[in-house]
Amino acid sequence: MPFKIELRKISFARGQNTILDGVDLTVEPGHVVVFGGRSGSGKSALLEICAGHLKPAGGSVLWDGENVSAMSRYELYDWRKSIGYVFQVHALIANHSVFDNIALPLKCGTDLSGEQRKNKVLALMDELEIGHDIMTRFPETLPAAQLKSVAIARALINEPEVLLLDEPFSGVDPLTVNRLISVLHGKWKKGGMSIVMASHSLSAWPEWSAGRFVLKDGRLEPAGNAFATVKDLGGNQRYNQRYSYAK
Amino acid sequence: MIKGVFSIVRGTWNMVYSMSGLLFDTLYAAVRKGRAPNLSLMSQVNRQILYTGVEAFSLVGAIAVLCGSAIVLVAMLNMPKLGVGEYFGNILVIVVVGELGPFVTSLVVVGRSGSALAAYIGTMKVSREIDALEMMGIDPIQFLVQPAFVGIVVSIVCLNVYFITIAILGGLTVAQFVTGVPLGIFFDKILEALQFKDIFFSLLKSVAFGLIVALVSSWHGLNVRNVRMVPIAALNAVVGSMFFTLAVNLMLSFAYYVL
Repeated sequence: MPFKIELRKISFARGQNTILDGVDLTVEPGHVVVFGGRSGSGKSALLEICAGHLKPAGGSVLWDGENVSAMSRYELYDWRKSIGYVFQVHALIANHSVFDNIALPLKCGTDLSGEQRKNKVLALMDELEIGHDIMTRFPETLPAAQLKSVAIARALINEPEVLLLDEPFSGVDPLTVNRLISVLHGKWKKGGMSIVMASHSLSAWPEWSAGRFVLKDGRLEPAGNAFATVKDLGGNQRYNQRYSYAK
Repeated sequence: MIKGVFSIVRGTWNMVYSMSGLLFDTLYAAVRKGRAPNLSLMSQVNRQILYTGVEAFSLVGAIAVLCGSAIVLVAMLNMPKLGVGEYFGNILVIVVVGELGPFVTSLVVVGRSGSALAAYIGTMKVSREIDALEMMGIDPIQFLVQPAFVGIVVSIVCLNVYFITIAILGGLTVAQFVTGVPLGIFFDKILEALQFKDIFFSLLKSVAFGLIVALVSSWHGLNVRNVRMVPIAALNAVVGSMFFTLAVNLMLSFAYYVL
């Protein structure tokens, strides 16, 4: 079952720059929350705080009511077995092939046999339309869109209860974006996992998201509809029309 | 001046303290109850042994023949003149088995694999691969440092045995060509002088040096913060490993004569 994530009065700074200033966010089990914001507004920091990777300067992160900062390193690792995380940079293991990268969470966290792992990885690759021909290739030989698909596959292979996505569709062509969104939608509907996504690409915000926010001046504000969101982010009407961000 | 010395001592103390923490974490990660299975451990250990041990075989073999020949020739030609010819076997055991074998092999491993390991882990840190491992719930120490420890220790021990064998056999063969004295006579002297204690301390040194190389290199790699620090980490891994290897070598050599 997905678990509830609560951020209470989160503040975070890099040097003298305040990035997050009293952010409150609750992700109910099975809900989809999306937030946007300008580059450098703290989207990645907020996601990493959600995952317990960055320690906030103030406030607390709770996973099912348990304080993350009070957890030991090993407790965190145990929790994270049920979290899928996609970094803004693909962060695939450079000396592992595409297949080994996707299979890594299974190899280092489950007792599945080699055959079972292979079947599971191949099925997911088919679902995400990752060609079997790139299975033995290494990450540095792949284009950005395929790297993102592989990174998403790696995050999904363990059937996570919570999926955290940091700019998952940047540098990805629209067709692949549609495919990835439909796969995510299918997994969300089937398994009821929670999804938290940071993306400044409003066209990629799923319509099925329960919460939409904009990070502005270190605070998280409700975004309303996608059309209004561009204004919140500092865009203008002409820009919206030209790039058809809004429906 | 005093302030500078104090800051160097404090910096070294902090580094040793932090390294001992990494050593403890590595040992604890291996025995911790409820640790996740790591099915890729053996393949990573094998890969480390391939890079550190197998690929260094020809280099270590060449160094062993050259060192062994020089020592055997110098000992054969000079010891009788000094009236200590009967101690030929003892000298060879002390120099080759006790000192050169473990130390030269560890130097080769430091130069080849220590710097490579620090650069590898450092690059993974910069490209966020280590963060990705942590996000997957994979302990980077269990995934990266443990296989390096096992692989490097096994490699250095095997290289040490190989070095000693090649140095003695190669050296005696070269000496036979130069002096014409049958190989068997000197070989018997070496076997007479060789004791269990010599072999034990030689292997103990190899294990200790392997742990030092793996620990110091991994620590420098894990402490990389940006891409500019990667070559510095590789450099510091070599310098630090050599320093600690020499220090521990001195301690173990002292222990050999005391015990």
